[in-house]
Amino acid sequence: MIELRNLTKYYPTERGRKYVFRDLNITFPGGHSIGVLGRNGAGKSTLLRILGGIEAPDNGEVICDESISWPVGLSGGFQGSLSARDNVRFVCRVFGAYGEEMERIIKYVEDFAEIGDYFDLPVGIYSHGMKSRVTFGTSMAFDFDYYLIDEVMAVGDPIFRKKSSAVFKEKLEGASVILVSHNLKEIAELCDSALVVERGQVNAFEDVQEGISYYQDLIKAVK
Amino acid sequence: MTVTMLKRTPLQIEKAVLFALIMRELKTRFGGRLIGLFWVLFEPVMTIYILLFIRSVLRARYLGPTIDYPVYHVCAMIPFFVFRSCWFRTMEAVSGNQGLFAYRQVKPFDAMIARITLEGWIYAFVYLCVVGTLAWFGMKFMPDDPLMFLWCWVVQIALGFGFGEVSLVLAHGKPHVKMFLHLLVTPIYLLSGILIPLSQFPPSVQYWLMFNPTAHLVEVERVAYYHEYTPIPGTNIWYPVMWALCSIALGHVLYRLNRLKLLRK
Repeated sequence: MIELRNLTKYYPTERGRKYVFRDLNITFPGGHSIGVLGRNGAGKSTLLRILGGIEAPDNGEVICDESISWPVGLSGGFQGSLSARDNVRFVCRVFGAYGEEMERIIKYVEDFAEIGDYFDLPVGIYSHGMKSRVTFGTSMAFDFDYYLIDEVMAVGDPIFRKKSSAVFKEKLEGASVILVSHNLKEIAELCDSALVVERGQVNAFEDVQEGISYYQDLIKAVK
Repeated sequence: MTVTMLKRTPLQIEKAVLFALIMRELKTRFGGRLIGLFWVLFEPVMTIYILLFIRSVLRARYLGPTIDYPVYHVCAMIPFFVFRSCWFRTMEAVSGNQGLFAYRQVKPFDAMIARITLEGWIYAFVYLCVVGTLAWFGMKFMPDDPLMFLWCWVVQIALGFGFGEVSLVLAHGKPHVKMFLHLLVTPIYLLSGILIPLSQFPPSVQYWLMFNPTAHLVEVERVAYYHEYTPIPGTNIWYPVMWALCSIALGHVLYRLNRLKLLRK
């Protein structure tokens, strides 16, 4: 279970404080996968970063008794000057996997990513799709109670999507996901509940279909 | 295939993160090749040899019957390079590791510690290489007061770390400030008495030059190496120690206040 209590987050800018969230109270029930919907700049990624422990809220707290993955997204997590292999090694070391265990993880990611020689070339030269293969694969190699996934699957080709979906579904039998995506089909398929983020507020929907139709109405209203 | 996550103590996590970061630093600095290792270690060694050659063969000064000019030079110069390098490596610790803070265990502070650790080891190696070669030519290898000399190294590293931490926060996202600091270090170097002995300046100027903490360290290092060396009056090891402690304290405060801002791009 993850609980957000009176969560407030703002960024100081030249034009005053920009609030992303104000006094947010949400409880994510255990064993539920949650899709996060919202337009660009609504605060979806910020939410993931707060849940992932990278950014601290300006007020309020995140209470959690389960393990949460790092936010798996295209930005961050990997050092551009290092190869994928070295980046995966780094993650292994941070999470305390050494020796044979590390080798197994690297092998797993290499097989999952299927990017051939690029696996030993600097991540900085990768395309979005290649990067997402590696970042997604790396997170799949570790066991968490919650996976924070930020639009990584969206940039993959159909074959990768199919494969990642399959691996992911297997994972979701024992774990949950908090998935940011603009692909409503994907959210409907993988998530049980939905959060719609808009203008500093978050509407929670127990049923994912309800959330999706609310979001679609929201988009229509803007159009 | 999956990995089961074990609950770890904070100390275990810290150790794992530091190890991961040091390995990462090694990898990027050495480029993963033997030639990279060679370059990182021998580039400063070669620089120092060339400087030494110019100073001691072409422009040597007589310092008394027992003091070897090259050793006199190197025993102050390399510790200063440690200071300088710790300063700037710490200052760039966040920008150089940006992507890796996505893991909640990894904090900018860890990156700074990893960097100064590596810098300390690299320069210890460089030092042993240079002084070892000089010893081969029959010059002095062991300082008269090895503990004092080691203590000077610690203070240099601490000073570099403190300066680095303060400049990391103050210059975050401001490349022109970083550039200014890079320019600032040259006058500090030139006025700390490494190349030009401070005794050559009139006492009224010396008074002002001794506000520079590295000038004190240079004098103390030379005394530690050669008991017969006469330092500038007023030399005091506790003066740079205070600088180091104050800058680290200030750096910690600034870091704590701005730790969230540092993680934002």
